[in-house]
Amino acid sequence: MFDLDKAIASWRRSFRYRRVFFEDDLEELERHVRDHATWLVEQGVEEKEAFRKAVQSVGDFGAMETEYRKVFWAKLKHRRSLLREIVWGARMFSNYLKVALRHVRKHTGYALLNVFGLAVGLACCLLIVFFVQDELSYDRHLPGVERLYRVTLSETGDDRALHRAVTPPALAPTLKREFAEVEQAVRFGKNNAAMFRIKGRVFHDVTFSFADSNFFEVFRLPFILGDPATAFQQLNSVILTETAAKTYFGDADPLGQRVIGPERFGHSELVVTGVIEDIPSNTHFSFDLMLNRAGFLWPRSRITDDQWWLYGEYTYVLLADAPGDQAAALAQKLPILPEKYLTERSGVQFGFHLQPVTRIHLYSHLEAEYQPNSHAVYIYLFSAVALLILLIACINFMNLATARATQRAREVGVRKVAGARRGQLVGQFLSESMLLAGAASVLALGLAWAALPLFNHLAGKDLALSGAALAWVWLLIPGLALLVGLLAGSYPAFFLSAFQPASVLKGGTGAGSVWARRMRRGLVVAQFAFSIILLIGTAVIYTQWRYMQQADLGFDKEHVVVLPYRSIDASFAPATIKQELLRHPGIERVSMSRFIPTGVTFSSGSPIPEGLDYEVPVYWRGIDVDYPATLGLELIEGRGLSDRLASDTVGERGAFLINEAAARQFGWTEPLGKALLSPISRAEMGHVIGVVKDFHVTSLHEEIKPLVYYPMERGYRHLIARLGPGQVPETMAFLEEQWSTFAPGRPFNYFFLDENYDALYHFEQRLTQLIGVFALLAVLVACLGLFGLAAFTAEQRTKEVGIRKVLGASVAGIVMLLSRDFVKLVLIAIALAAPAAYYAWETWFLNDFAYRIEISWGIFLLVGLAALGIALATVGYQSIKAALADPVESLRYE
Amino acid sequence: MIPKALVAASLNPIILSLLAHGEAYGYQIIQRIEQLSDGKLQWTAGTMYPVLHRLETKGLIESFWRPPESGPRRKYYRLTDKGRSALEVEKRQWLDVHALLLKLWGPELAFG
Repeated sequence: MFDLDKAIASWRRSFRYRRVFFEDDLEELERHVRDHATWLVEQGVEEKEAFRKAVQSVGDFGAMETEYRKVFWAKLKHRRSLLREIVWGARMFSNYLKVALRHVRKHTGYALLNVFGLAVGLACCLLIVFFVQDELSYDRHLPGVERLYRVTLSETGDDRALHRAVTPPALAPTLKREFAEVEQAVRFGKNNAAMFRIKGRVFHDVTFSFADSNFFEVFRLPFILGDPATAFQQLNSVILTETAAKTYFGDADPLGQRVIGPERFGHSELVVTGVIEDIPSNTHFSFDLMLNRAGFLWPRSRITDDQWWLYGEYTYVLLADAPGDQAAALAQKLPILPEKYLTERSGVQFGFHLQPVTRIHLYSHLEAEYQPNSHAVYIYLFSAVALLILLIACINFMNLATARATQRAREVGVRKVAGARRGQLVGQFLSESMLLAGAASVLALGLAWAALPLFNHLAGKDLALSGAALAWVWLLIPGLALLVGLLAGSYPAFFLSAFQPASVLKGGTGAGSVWARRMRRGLVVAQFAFSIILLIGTAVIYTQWRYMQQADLGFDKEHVVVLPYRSIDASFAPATIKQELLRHPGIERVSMSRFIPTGVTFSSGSPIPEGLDYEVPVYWRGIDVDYPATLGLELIEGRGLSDRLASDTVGERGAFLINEAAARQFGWTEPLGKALLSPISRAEMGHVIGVVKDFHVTSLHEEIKPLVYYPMERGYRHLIARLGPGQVPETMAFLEEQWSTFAPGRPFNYFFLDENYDALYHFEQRLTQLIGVFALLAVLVACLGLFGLAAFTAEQRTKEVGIRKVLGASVAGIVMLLSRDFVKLVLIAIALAAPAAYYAWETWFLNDFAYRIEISWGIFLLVGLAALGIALATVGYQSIKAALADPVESLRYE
Repeated sequence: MIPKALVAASLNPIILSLLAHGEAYGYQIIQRIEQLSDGKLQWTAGTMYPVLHRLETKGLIESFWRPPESGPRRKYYRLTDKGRSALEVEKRQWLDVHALLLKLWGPELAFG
């Protein structure tokens, strides 16, 4: 039985999601239809027919919508009902979401693949953003940092180009005295480890710094205890960091506690007068204890405020808080200083330079930095890697979504027939991709959080998901979800919504179009090319790192143990110790010296080489007779030191060994027998008896330094023992036993030279590991996409494979057929990526090294094969699965 | 049948003129026009309502809901003062066109 009310309600429902019809418009229309139908019934028309005619008289649906839309915005404005629009939008969006969720539920595997791939990419990005943000934040936490500058000293001439971070002691007082732009100038130095006695306990190897009493006025580090204005004014003041205070005094009040330093200090009885907060790790210096410079140096009369020829301290200035560019003004006046105070030598030019404190960490790589600095190039490198990974992940997302298009072509067709407009379809697909991207972002946050400890370990950082990093997260996560959702969803959205309903419903699939397939292939190629660039980078960095580790160092670093000589009781003569230790068959050689090859020191005072009339800076190395043999130094010319010649072992007027770099620096072609003169008295200090092959003292980033070895009898710092191969634990046990005799009560703090040397390359090692990890993750993400795509292709060709099998195709043949396409794509990617990678790594990375590898074809071959192998493995699984499928199953309809 | 373009052009003055006789609701307007034009002018609701709504946004007419003795309420439209003066302008324009056409069709007009 026909029910008019029901029929009208259902007719009205069909208008519900047409936003151009307002609720009262529909009411008006309904009333119209009812009036007309009633009239028709009164004319004797049957009720059902009357309803049909009434609806028809209202007009064609499409034409009606067009007419209503023309007046829609005017009505909206007239009625001031923008809120309705918002509610409408929200309702539409919730509908989009509902459909999206339904879709996800129906294709869980696809959604998981997509979300996981994107999440891994985003997590990598997040970690890199944290890393970069931390690197960029160095020293910016210091109050007034924009007025803080470091003054450095360059020394250039025909034979040298030195730029030191350290400056003479006279600089700071002079700057303060002569330049109005300088509000404060402070001298600040760091010292090697020393022994301190605190509350009756002995602490070895305490690292401390010293500075002028205005240090805390220049670097306003926050105080926890003590008055910043007065705490550092006494000669015997010592300021501790919070952690140091806890270590030494536990919960007791540290203020006023006594700390006893070595007797060689000016004031060895120190009093704790302040505790500062721990120095943030993103600061270009660090210390546990800070001593007052005047108190610490007092008896060393040589270091005076008018001394211009000693370099051992850093000079920082706090510029005046005055209008105008104070830094530029000061920089212009700085050349006055060398003219006035450093005019003593010819042929050499000195220059003082201003360096903003905020630029030290990333841009300063001078002689004698406070601690190894990072490189800006690594910031670029990591940012590029993050961007590449994000791109790969987005491409994945797009590819998987467009591939699904075939399955959805029909859906789009039906929606269009039902009246969906293109904008609505775009909205639908964008909502879907944003839903997935949102899920991926949340998952990415979880992944990044979980991977943070590992990342910190690899990067040698101490990052935490708090403070500034957390603020970034709140900004990044929704932003990225939106951006990636839009970016990755836009292509499928516009592509899918453009389908012609007539053609897709007839059975053709829009996704199969040549253009779409090309696009998809292009994206796969791009993705693999990016991955290959990263993989080649990993290989390059790794090879460079191995090269540095295995480079011919000029000395033998294996099996060399180093012990702190200063711990040894003074009553034992060096000869006695050597004799005792050499009794063990596992110990081949023993030497004592002031320096070890890996130690970095700055020279104080430079000799005048014979034949020149000016000083040349060199690195001095005090050694004993056995040093060259113990370290396996290669003598190129002359001889080593000999204990038969008295002159060899006497410091004054003695014999020197120099390295090749020094000979070059001195301009000597025949160095043997040449003399070095004292820069002060011009008297001969000694002559060269041998030349040692060059070796790398610091890292391979830097050129080899000129070294001069001089014999010494006391004042050693290191006891060096070369062990025989094998039975190392046994020998170490013997050494420890002997140690308890020679250095009773002192810790057996030893290290192996090779480990120490490798530590120089920690940074490169970390970099390799990090880039390696990220490259692998990028490949993983790319493979996820390839996997999905292969699955899709295999699925699409199910029937074809079935027919081929029925006609007698072999499994192997079908696997070939299905994999061939992908292999081609990967080959193209390799061909594209190789030159790009070569250029990128050559210019960005390798050019930064003084000693470097050449990129070999082997690397390209290896990476290419690896990429191909990975791609084949990924695609192969799907291909084999498809090839093994029973044709009966695949060819059956329904 | 009157062509679409002329229907569209005459919608405004016809609606305004009809409403000048008193308020009416949409179905009434359609019925009356059909009667008055002897069925020569047939509007669909889908065309007419948007025009009513546009005139309303322009402030030439206003609408209000009124319940009848029985059944659901109806939406009525009536002319505003602004609409009345707009109608005067419109009327003069149509009469001008009309007068011109009459002149052109009149037997007394000769060329030469």
